[in-house]
Amino acid sequence: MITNHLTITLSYLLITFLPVTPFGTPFNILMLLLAIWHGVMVYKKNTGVKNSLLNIIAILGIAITVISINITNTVELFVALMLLACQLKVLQATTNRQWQQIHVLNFFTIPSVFLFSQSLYVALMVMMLLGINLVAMLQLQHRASLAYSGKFTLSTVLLSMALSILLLIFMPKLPAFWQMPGPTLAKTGLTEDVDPFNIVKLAKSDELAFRAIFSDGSQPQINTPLYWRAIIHDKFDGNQWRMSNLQNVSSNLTANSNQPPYKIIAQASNLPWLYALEHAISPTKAVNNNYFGTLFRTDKITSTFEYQVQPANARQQVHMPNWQYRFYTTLPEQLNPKTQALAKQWDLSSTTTKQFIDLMQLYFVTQAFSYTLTPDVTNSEHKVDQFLFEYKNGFCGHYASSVAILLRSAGIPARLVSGYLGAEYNNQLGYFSVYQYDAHAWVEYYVPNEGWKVLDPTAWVSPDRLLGSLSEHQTLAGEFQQNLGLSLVAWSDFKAVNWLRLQLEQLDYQWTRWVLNFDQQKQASLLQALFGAKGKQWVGALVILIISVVLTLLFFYVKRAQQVKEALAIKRYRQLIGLSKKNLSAAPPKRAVDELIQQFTDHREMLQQFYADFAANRYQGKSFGKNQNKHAKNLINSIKTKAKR
Amino acid sequence: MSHPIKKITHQLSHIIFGKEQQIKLAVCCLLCRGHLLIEDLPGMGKTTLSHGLADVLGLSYQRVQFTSDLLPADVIGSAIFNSTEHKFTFHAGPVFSQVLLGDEINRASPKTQSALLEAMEERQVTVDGVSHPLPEPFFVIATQNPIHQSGTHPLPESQLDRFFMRISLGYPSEDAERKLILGSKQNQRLEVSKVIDIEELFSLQTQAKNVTLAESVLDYILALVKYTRHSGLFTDPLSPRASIALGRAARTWALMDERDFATQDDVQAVFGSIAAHRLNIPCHLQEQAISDILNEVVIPL
Repeated sequence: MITNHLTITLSYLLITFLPVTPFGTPFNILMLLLAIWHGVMVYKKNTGVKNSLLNIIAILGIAITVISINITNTVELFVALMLLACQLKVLQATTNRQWQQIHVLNFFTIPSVFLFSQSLYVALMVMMLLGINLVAMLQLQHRASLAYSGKFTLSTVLLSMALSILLLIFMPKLPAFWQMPGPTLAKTGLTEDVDPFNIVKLAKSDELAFRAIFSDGSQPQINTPLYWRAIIHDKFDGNQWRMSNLQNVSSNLTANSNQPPYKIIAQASNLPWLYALEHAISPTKAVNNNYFGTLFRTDKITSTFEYQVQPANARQQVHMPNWQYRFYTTLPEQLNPKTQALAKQWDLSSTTTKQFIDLMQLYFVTQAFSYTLTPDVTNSEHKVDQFLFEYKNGFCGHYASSVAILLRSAGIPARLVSGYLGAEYNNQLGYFSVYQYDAHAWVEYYVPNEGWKVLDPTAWVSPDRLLGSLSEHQTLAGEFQQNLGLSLVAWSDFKAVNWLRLQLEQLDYQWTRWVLNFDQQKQASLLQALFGAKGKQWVGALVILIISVVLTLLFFYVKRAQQVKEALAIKRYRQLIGLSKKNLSAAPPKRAVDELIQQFTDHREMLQQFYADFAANRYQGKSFGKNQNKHAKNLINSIKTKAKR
Repeated sequence: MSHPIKKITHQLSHIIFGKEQQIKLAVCCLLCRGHLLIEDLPGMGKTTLSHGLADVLGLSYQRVQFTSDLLPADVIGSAIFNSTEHKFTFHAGPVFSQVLLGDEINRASPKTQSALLEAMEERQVTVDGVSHPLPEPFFVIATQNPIHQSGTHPLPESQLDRFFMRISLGYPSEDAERKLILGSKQNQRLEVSKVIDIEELFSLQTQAKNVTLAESVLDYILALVKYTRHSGLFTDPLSPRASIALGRAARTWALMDERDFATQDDVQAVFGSIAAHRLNIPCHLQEQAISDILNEVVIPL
């Protein structure tokens, strides 16, 4: 029994240390210490910590939790406090009643992980922990054996799984009554302000960013670079590239009817910015497009979100208005003098923008610039100067921002774009996966009469970065894998590991597509396919009716089944005392059985066994099953035959 | 001998010979945090048992010999004028101890008996409008002589109901009496040693609360109580306080038997000592009445 209590503590510990629950190190250490304390108590067979001591720990614990988690992250804070409270309750508990409270509370505490992630793995883990909780509950409250409670739990979980699939598919989807504020995420590939010069090491995350699904035959060519635009940075303040407020202003663009639409399932990013190739608009509700032709949502993306993308025509602009021209060529004047001088020099020796760019490319290629994820950090205020003339190494952010500054210095309108480059294509199911490590930055510059053009200076330094995803990049493989650490992508050189990774990825795709994003629209089309346009309206009501009828019947069936089982123990008991020479109907069971033992001394052990079964059934709520019934029948027959002789 | 309850009953069997059942009932009563009334003729070992109980649990105790001229203030204490400080200060009476041994409680006047009422139920004493809480735990172990003896005031029903259990020791068996004659030394109390401390006592009380009381056992308690109310045989049927007491005592009795579930046998074992003094039936008919009830009420299985 006492080891069950430890499994509860272990499940809290598991939740605390889960990568998706970012509670912070002090809180994790606190939970670990409390768990160790409970472990020692279990080992020493102590129970129940004094309330006064617990209160002090609780106050300290709250302080540590608030320090560990920023007070503005309310969701994380409340989940953490709930975990802490549960753990303290475990330490305090001595009576069955207190344990009962803990077990019931766990049905609320454990699924709170879903606030942070709803992935397949988290769902499986939550199901496992709930199963363990159910087993512990059965063992404690019904004193059931491990085998029995395990079996019971399994059947309950299977039944509820069947029910939830039924509910998922047929239950009418209602709009949410209220929404939780989303927990803030630690890792993301996109940032709203690009400041590459202060980054020592670009920690690449192998988390999924989004998936794109194209209708058959319209997939982009695998060997063309896919630039997924997300954020346009058009202001440079000397340190970093920032967004202007044009980023989240809706604008009208015309759809490009030559290109078919496609779907994107975005993972939670806690940013409102969405992804699309080139210029795009979207028919999906709550998705708007801005002046730049990138998509954004009115609120932050806190859970996986599916939307339609319709390619659009870029705004035709023959001449840039004067204010816009000034805006796109603005630079802090006193910063980076060498860079500005270099740009002026190139500007004098070139007549077209094309020539200017060629000169830039020549410089980058001949001056032996290199691509690295661990660049030197600048210490000067003239960051670009130091990068261009001294260090000459960096990642996409360095190249994009210095080229944009060079362009602006020469009076060519330029802006920085961040988004993702490349995608991994899944052959079997035909979709593209884009990961956080595919995050990229490039430049767009303006040519009069032609409009905005894409320029990726990183390609000059590292041409193969353009093709496919970073995971397929040959020359950077070593450095890339070092940065990823222990994840399956890092081992993708081994065929078996890569195969496994793709299978898991596919499973997760199906889960996201069919479970997490099974929305009103998908349900409606499924129901229509199954029952026709007329039938689908009635299905919802019918399903609710059927489910309530089934549950009511189940309730009465279970109740009746218990009664039948109970009656069996009493029936056998009555038969037994009927065999006695005395009238034992007024004696309580123990006394009656003791009396029987005196009369039938040969059957002492069998009678004692029967009483044990009877007491277990009548007083402890255990079942009087087949084995017990068989034993009782044997006992009765044995006594009868003995009496006949 | 590992179980603390076994140790208690074993210790007590050194001073009261051949009365295992009564000793167990007395211990059960104290584990239920109930007050105990021991009724018997003089010289049957009432006082020995009550001293032994206090000793074995290691509780502080004070003894009060109730007489007809004993006043309430003699038991609960009184406010006395302090001439140096010019104010009244409260002097705690013998009731302020963990165990109060009230010898021959029914020799006192009804007024003094009632003074114990508040102390027993509320576990506090009020003098001149100021409440003084009693120590924890607080038990009253009272002894009384059978009612028909001269110079006794019978305890009022309300006060009787406040005693969780009433037991009587009765005459010892011949063997036990032989041992008594050989063993007793003049004017010397038999010694028992403390076997458990207060922490253990509290932990046992908590354990008793965790004993399962099955539906059928609960039904049995209700059937017994209902019988005393509806059969028309009793002028003072059992109160809800009595049924609560039955449930608690049955649980504790099961714990004393090292079980974690109570049975109807446990209810029968404690029924007599919980019900007899509350039913207000003449002394000599009590035993018969209790066994009649137990035979009459059908045991729900």
